Amino acid sequence: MPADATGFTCESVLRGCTLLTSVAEDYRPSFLALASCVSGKKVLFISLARSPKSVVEWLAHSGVPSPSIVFISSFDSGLSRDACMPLEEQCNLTEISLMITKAVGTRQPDLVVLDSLNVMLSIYDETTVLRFVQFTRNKLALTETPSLFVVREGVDPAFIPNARPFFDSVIDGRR
Amino acid sequence: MNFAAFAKQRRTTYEYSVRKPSASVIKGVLEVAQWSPSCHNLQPWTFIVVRNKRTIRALVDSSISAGFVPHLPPVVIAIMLDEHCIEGVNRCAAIAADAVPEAHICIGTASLNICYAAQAKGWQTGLLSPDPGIAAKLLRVPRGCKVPLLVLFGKERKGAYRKPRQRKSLRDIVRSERA
Repeated sequence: MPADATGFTCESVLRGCTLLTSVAEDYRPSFLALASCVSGKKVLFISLARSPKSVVEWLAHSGVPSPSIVFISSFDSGLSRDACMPLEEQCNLTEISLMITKAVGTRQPDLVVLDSLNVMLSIYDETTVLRFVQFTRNKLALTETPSLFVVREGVDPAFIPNARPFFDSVIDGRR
Repeated sequence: MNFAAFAKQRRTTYEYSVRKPSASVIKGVLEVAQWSPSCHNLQPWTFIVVRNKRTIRALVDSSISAGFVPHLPPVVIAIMLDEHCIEGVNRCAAIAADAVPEAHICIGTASLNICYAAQAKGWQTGLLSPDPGIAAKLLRVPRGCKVPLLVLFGKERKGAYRKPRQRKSLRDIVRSERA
């Protein structure tokens, strides 16, 4: 897939660790581009901001061939335990980290998506969240699993420049 | 409390409060570690008490095999293994190549003593394997030595995440000798 106006390519997402900035609600063109990247892939989707069901519905609504998604989420998904690994707490970094380790080991996803960092930033300070990003990134590098972290509007504007060094690339999806 | 109940209570702590153990608490725990069993009584360990926040953070974050630790412990006891211990005849394994893994078992016994001693004093622990290169650099580990294990040491933070404790059944892990 060619790069869109934001410089987004599937190649860039499916390699290394990427930060995708997005608008507060709904998904913009870059996210649709992401959806087409994940079609046919095995995706581990850590859904902290919305229910897995709404993500599945959105993908179907977008006309994207349904990717094979395993969720990690605290929301009541209505999905089987095979399809959604439930979090006991809404956003505990240790629990999420242990779940990622387990899911990557057993499901071997092609991509890990975490949506969104805003939830983490509402609970933990920026330093802790960025430590988590770095820790997760290093962990996923062991299995060469690419990752995409989503941050939506509403966070401290200083966060994105501060976070930039922790990612291989940053895609501005707000346009 | 009997020992079985005491041992069953021990759990890994992932989130620590800022409360620091006193030097006498640490000393008391290390005195128990000192008496850990080891192959041929080699005592191949050195205990490095780490209190520097930045060093603790770097050590813990290098340990990506376990879970993320959002609230760091005030103290880490790094257990250093002297691999020279396998030289000569005083080793547990007959084959030299097997001796280094055997020596690591001694590190395990020492760490277990630390965990139980801490628990007996009302403190909590967690075990992590650091990245050996990062640990060696941070702790200025001499050549021929390595740090295979960290014991996180502190008080559990209120409301800390507790991983559900699961154990295999005895039926799955015990078998009788078959003649």
